[in-house]
Parts: sequence; C-alpha cells; structure tokens
Amino acid sequence: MPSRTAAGGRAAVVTGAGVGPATRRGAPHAPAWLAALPALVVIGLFSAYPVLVMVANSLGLGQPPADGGPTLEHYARALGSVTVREALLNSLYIAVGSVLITLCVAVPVVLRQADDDRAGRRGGAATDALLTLPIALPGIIIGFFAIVLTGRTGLLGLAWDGFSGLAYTFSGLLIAYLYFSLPRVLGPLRGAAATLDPSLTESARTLGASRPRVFLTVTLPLLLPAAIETSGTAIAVALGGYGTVATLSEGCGSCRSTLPTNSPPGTGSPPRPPSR
Amino acid sequence: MTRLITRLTCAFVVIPLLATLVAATSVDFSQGPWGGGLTLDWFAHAWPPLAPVIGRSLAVAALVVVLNLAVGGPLAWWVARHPSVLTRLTGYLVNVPLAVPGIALSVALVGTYPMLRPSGLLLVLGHLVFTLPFTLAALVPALADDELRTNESVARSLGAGAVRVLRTITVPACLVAVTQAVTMVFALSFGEFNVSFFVNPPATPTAPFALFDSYSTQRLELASAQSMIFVAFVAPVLTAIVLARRRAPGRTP
Repeated sequence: MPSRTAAGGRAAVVTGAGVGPATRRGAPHAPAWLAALPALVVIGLFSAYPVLVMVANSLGLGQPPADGGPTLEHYARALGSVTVREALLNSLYIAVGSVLITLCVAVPVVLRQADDDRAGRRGGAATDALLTLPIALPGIIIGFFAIVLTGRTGLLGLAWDGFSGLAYTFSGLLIAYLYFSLPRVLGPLRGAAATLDPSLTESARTLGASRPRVFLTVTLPLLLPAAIETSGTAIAVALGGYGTVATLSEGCGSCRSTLPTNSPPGTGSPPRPPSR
Repeated sequence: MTRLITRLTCAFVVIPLLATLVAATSVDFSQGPWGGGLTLDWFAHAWPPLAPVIGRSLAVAALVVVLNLAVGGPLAWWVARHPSVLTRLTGYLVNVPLAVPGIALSVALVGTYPMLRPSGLLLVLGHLVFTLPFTLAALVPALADDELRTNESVARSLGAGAVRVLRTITVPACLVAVTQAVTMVFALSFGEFNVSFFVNPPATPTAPFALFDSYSTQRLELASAQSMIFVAFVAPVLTAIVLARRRAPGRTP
C-alpha cells in the first residue's frame, strides 16, 4: 500500500508538470486525493500506526527479545487480575451510566432548543453558549468543581450534610462525568433535532395522537440513530476521560479504581502514582 | 416541561462555576462561603505563575489551529467533493482518536516516537490528530453544499482561476464553518488534558497540566482562582463558537 501511494504520487507530479497551463487555469488535472495526502500521512503516522503498534505488542508481536510470538497471554493476565477487572467494570458503569442519564436529559433540552430556534425566541444564544461551555473544560476542572461543591468543605455540604464528601463516592463520580458528557451529547444531538421536520409532529397531533404518543412514535424514532451514534462516541470519550478521576483521586481512597488511572503509563511520570 | 429541564440543565452547568468563583474570592473557604471576608488576593497570587503557562498553551493551540486548516482543509475538500469508498474509509480513520481513549493513544504515541517528545512537537501533533475529526465534521458539510459547487463552476466557466474561485467564492461561503472549526479546535487544544499529561515535556507544562499541579499541591482558594482564570480564557472562544453556529445556514429561521 505505501509503495503504491508513493508511485502514484510521483506519477501525479509528472503529469501535473506536463499539463501545467491547464492546472493554472483552474481545471486541476492532478489527482484530487493529493490534497488529502498530508493529512493522511499525519493520521497514519500519529494515530493509526501507534495504535497498531500497541495492538501488535499486546498480542506478543513486538520486538523479538521481549515478545516471543503471537500470544493471548497478556490479555489473559490483564483480565485475570481482579484489580483490572474491577477497574474495567467501574469504568463501564460510570461511562455508560453517565451517558445514559445525560441522554435522558439531553433529548428534552435539544427539542426545546430546536423549538425556540424555529420560533425565533430570544435567549437561545445564552443557553446555547452555557451548555456548550463544558466541552472546553478539561476533566480535571470538572473534578475540581465536584470538590468545591461536594468535597469535605464543599458549598453544598452546608445546605445538606449528605453532600459533603459526595465527590469521593461512586455517585459523586457519576455526577462529575455527567457534567463531562453533557456537552458531548448535547452538541451532536442538537444538530439532529434541528433537522427534524416540525410538520410531522404537527400532523400526528392533528390526527389525534397525544403528546406522549407523538414523542414515542414520531420524535424518538427520528432521533434514535443520532442518539445511538452520539452516545457511542460519548461513552468512548468518558471511558478514556482521565482528568476528572485524577483530580478526585487526590486525597481519596475509595474511588481510585476506575480504568484510566489504573493503566500505568510506563513512559510518563504522573505527579502522584495511582494507588492500588 | 422541556423548558424546566433546560433551565435545570443550565443551572447544573453554571452552579459549579459560581461556587468556584465564591471559593476564589473567599479569604478562607473552609469557614464557609466568603469565610474571613471577600478578597481578590488569590487572583493576584494565581496570575504570575499561570501567565507563562497560559501563554504556552495559547501558542500550542494557535499552532494546532493553523495545522488543522492547512492539513484538514484540503482533506475536507477531498472528502466532500470526491465521495467514494476511500473517503468513507478515511472518515473512519480520522475518527480513530474519538474511539481510542486519549490516554491509550498518548501512551502509544510516547512509546512510538519518544524522540519527538522533548521539543513539544509530539504534543502539537497529538493535539492535531485529536482535533482533526472536529475540523472535518465542520468543513465537510459546508464544502459539499450544492449551491456552493454551482457557484464555483459558474465562476470557473466565466474564466476565474482556481485561486480566485477559492478566495472569492469558496472561503467566504465556508466562513461560518471555518470559524466554527477554528474556535472548536482552539478550545479543545487549550483544554486538552489526556494527551498533554503524558506527551507534554515535563519541564514546559501547558495550562491544564499546571492546574492539575495546583489541585494536588495548592490551597483550594488559589486553585479556584486559577480555574476561574482558565475559564475566563475559554469562555470568549466558546461564545464565538455559538455565534458562528447560529449564523450557520438552515439553523436560524
């Protein structure tokens, strides 16, 4: 594959030189994929290749002295470890749970936003800006928010005792990841809600269907593909979202065992190693 | 009903920000909100060490934005204008960093290219790979627009050169999408933690890394002040994203 690309590239350069004036006049005769080449090289070298190397290493196909041929032993050992299994399960609960809850909140929100946009109501921009903001906040800040609000001296703890220390529990972590997932679900889902045709729900209503029925049989099925795609991505991002749990695990004993903090970098040197 | 949920969601997003602001302006937060009185001292203490770090993060983010446009722009053009099995495969390939947890990819990156790490080149490339999906998501639909393609071919048939078509037709028509891509990439790179944590050369931290350091070693009030400074840098960028999105054709009535 690489050699073919290189040969093709050379051939293209030669033809390009041959039809120089034509190219200058705006009818590009060089193959169009040349435009994509720099990006494909970057992606290939810095995204696809490292992942492939990692997969190969995990299967024992790495450098001969360390790895002695194809094996599933690494996987067996990883999955055999109780710590890893627990961490994996905790991560899955948190990621899937937070995204599913986010989805239940996000569907009414995007429908309301789409309605407001169509009606041209004001105030939509402020809501929109506010709800998009968390996407630019690194996970660590969200973990910090959790400490400020529900840490041992947290603000919400003043209102109700049950809130103090919540940040360091499983439910606290779930809420923190809700904050993390919210913009990642809302954004794409909003696009899908904006393309819904309002005449469909209107005709269903005039034909006598109740609001819940219209929602269940018209709106929801139309949103479902986008919702599934969005939650898939959001779950993947939440699974790898390292920052929130990293902040919360500073000074917390019970909530460290989710997967991201549990995979030792081997190369990096985190300020404090995750405890087992 | 939906309005109530929307309001509650907004409150959910804004309350932590307000609480952090309260913590950042309290003399002693452990005595409760504004315990010991109101002060701006924490901001004064927070800014000097944070300033160079934020400068570095801004530089990295700016570089990532430029690279995104230089590399992602042509790619988006190819994907939008020559749809085929190849472009669809490319779409999956570009989205790999969305599916592979950032932490795994950064460990893989550092393992594969340790020599690029000290210069910070690996950090920029890592951010580039992570933000390209967003550039593509914004640019491809804009470039695939039928009306734009008609306009371009009309201009060309009237004798305009490729550069002129690009400058006077394509770029103006895609301006909203480009703004959205630029602001999104900027915000993501500025706040990126997963890749930065492992790929960053330790001697030259970026902003999220410095925040993390404060969280583990500094007082809560000082860390709050630093968080608020960080949010203050991100908020205008986010506002720009939203304004660009609301200008997008087909969204506003």
